[in-house]
Amino acid sequence: MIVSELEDAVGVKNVSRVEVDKLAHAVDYYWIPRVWVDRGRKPIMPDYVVYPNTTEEVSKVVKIANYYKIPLIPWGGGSGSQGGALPVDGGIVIDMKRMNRVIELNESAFTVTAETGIIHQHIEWEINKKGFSTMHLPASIGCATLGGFLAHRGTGVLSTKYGKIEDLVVNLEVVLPNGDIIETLPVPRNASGPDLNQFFVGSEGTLGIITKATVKVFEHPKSRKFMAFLFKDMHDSLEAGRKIMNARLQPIVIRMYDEPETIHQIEKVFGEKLGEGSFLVFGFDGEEEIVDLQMKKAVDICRETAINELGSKFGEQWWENKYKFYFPPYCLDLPEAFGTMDTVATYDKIETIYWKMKETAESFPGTKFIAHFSHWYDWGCMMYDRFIVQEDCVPEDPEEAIKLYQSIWTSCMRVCLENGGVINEHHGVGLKLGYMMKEQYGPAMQVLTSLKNALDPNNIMNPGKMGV
Amino acid sequence: MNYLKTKEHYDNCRFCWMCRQVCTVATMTNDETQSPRSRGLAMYAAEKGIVDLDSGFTEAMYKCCLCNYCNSWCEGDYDPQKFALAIRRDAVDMDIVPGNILHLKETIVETGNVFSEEISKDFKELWDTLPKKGDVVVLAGGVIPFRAVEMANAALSIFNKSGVQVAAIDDEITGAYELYCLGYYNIALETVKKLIKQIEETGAKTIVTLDTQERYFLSDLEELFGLKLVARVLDFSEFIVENAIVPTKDINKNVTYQDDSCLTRKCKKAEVPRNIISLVPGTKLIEMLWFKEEAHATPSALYNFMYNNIADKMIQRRIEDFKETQTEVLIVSSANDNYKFKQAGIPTISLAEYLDQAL
Repeated sequence: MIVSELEDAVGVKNVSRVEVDKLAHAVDYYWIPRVWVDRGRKPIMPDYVVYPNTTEEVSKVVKIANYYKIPLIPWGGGSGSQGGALPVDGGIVIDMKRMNRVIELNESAFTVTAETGIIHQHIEWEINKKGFSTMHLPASIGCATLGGFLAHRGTGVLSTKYGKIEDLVVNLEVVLPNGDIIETLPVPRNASGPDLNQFFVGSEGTLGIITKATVKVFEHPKSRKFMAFLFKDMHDSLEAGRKIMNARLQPIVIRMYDEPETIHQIEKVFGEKLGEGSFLVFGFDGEEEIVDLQMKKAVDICRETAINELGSKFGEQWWENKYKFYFPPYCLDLPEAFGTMDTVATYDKIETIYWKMKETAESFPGTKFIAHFSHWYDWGCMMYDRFIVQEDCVPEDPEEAIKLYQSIWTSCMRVCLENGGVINEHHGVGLKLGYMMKEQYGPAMQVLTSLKNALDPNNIMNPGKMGV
Repeated sequence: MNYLKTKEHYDNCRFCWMCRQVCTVATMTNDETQSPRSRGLAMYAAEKGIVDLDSGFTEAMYKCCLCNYCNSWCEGDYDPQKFALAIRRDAVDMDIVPGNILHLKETIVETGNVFSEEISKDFKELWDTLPKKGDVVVLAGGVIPFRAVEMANAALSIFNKSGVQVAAIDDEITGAYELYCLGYYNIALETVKKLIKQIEETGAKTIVTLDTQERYFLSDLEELFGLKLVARVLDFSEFIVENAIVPTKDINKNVTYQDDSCLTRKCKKAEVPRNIISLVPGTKLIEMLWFKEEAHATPSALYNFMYNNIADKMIQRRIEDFKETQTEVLIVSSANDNYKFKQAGIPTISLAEYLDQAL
């Protein structure tokens, strides 16, 4: 009955119960399903995978799920690290990738409108032809969808100047849990109540399915330049980064690596010894004269404390290799256990949080803690901090391995919260951090749960995610 | 099981999404299962007994079009084609080959080609004019005799004008690479051994392939089959450059060049055809947005018969790429490209024909 209704909604060819299709939608980038499969365990599979082609088809599928009270899990690229797309209760996975059309590039308003199943790189390639870019360029650009970025408040490597996805969004089309299709207001700056865009951005498919989005675009800059420095330690490089931000120089990126990650990652990818210290790279783009002036000011700041001026060559090399870190064998992978805790806090707290989290993570046997600082604001920055448990300290039994993994997460997240941090900046909550949401929000959590209960009383939309 | 030999590749691909945006079939179908990551995951799951090696599984592995885009994109040089090919071989051994693939294999075994046709009369007449022994032997491959005789004609005309003596094989054995791609390793091996014997009987020191697929296949025999060819293998374009055959007549046209997966990504010879085009007086080469190793893939003749709907989409996408260049002519090296683009009404000419006009 359900199958025939789904087939009627999206077409016979666009509903699958084939084992390999279900498997492909049962494992995302989250470490837990990976270790589960790695150790020969069968992951929780969806019952059906459906591939809608239009917003109306999405609406029909949502109505079917609602009628039968079946979990409905939106799937974009499946490359999220938080388990946000996992069908933990089975049900229907709704794979959005057939909805991948670029609808309009508005060269006057500097916006692009696209369906949300599009791989973000494909939007970029399409609008690059006309000299534009969304400037949303995360490492997952080639595998994640626009919808995925919106669903978990993603960010890109140039966010420090151009903003995160929530800063880029102009307008959304959303299918609500009851199947209604709504649009948010045409522009994001208004005084007509709370911003509906921001209800749905970051809602991880728990409040509806974003089917279409208009986001800002920018003209390709005439000039883009990078510089790199080595500082004696993380404190000095963090201070240099903060001063660049406080001076409002508008860097496109500041990427600062702590001492262990400078050795662990930077030297591995560059294939060159940099010496001991903390690697800092930054860049500017725009009109060349302005870029040169911004660069000069930033370089002056760094020269005050840097131990080695690595120059533009290392800066450009970093830019050229910025995605290489995420390919095997350069990326973290099993049999190690690893977790990326994208912590964010104000400048006065972030360094303390780093040390406390490092101490906590490294109290687990065979565990090291490395970090880089990648998204910078006027008030603070984001720490891409990772724990890595060496192979021989990861239990062979996947259930035991997961217990260890979760206890590291919980300990580190608590330390982060106790010291004034926020548990994540751009990876989202998903399954991984849902249980921490109440601790993080306190009584404010009722706002999110009330919203969820009001919009999705049957709790069909991506249940078990985001802690709601 | 053969696929276990490719474990290093699927182990590294199973949780890696980094080539999804360029994977030809994943892009054409928007199908998660068709991404290299999903194929790698499925392979690993099969190894662990999490999923069965059933028809749905093998279908997913056969849909890979073997364009090599994933491998050329990968910073770690992992290669999803290796496990896709290995599991096809296992599917043959386990007798779980999809019906369309089985039918195609029977066609190739019976006729030596995917078209299920006799060699065209024009081609036979042309080939009969050539000596059967010589230092330089031209190979036509499995497409030219059926769909692109004009490429052979032009190549021979060029050799004639340049005073280059070439020989050819009577009833050249074809179909080995296609059978290999379908997983019929043993039949492919026997077929390629026959071809090698034919080549050896010519006394060839140099093989000149007129189609790019043969250039790749014959230069990779050692890796694919553990066989060695005494003669060296050159693509037509490489032979032209090596022999310093230089175009002299003006052709005042803006042209673009279609990189095919075999010559460009697998043999890494993207520059050679471009060198020839750039020497044609009056010709201006304008690249497509996606070119050289990043060129959008076009289907092999075999793939047209495996998954025609995906193959058509591949051609359509490349036609869009061509149109964006606003050039007058699309120059190709692959015989199947030559045929498919012409069939689609695109002003297409093979590199051999273009050069012939310029001599």
